[in-house]
Amino acid sequence: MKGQMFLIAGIILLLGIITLANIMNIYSVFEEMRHTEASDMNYRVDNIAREYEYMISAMSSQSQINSNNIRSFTENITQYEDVEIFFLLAYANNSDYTMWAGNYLKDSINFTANMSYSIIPDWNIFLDDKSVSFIINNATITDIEINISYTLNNENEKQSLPMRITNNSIIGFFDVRLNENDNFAKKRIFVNRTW
Amino acid sequence: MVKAYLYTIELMITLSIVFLIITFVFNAPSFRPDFGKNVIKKSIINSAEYMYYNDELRKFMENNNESLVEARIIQMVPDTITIEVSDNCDTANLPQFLDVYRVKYYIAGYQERYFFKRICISGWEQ
Repeated sequence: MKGQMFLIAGIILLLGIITLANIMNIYSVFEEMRHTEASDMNYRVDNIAREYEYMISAMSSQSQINSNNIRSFTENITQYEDVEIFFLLAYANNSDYTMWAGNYLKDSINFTANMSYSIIPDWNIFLDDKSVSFIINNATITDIEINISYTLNNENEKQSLPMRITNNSIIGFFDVRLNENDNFAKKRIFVNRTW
Repeated sequence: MVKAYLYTIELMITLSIVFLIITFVFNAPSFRPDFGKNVIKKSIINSAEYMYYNDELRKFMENNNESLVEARIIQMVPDTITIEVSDNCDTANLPQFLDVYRVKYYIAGYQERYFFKRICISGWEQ
């Protein structure tokens, strides 16, 4: 009877090992799936962010600087993807500069911008979803700081953007969030060009 | 004395069976994960990323030249993968009963010219 106890203990041990082996295999498959899904979303959000960067660079060879292309691209993207996008664009020509703020965050936002060494130091607006607003300002020194904040879903997003006020200088800030099922990928980029 | 011998033999047999089964269980997984799909996916992403980051995708799409995009991707992926490139992302030419992987890119112009293009690169194992 004592010898049979070893056999029973051995069977219990084997059952434990087999269960453990199955758990380990399932874990490795989940890890692989999660990795490929994450990389898939990352390349897509990188693609969208890089196109904004490309458009800012392309503006240096365009005669008319405005937010039309950025706006058009954003509206096209929202037709095909579940994305939330906020952008701020500022173009300086000598001491004058124009700022555009675009809200495509699927909800209205309270947007605030504080501009250092500027004739209009604060810009507070309520931006509806899928809308762009602009302001024309004038700076008293060359290097200014634009501090922006916007409230969405009770969360306050803040960003500080440096800008050189000179002839033909442009900055762009883009906050892109791509949603898919329960996952999301987010990217913020800041682009700065002078020509 | 005889019983002690028997217990020892039973213990040795049990341990041998345990070790044999451990070797058997850990030698091969109970089911093989399907990595083939990920290889296709990775090949398509890598080749598309290469074309995207050196602006070839942008340049070809300016003239709606999907066939050139398709030809370049085919050069870069393994021969066993069939590639289909579509600018409107339709699924009409894709096989119904095979695993198809698709990557999507958005293009916002080439050089100073702005245009909006959407391109889908699909691939499946022959």
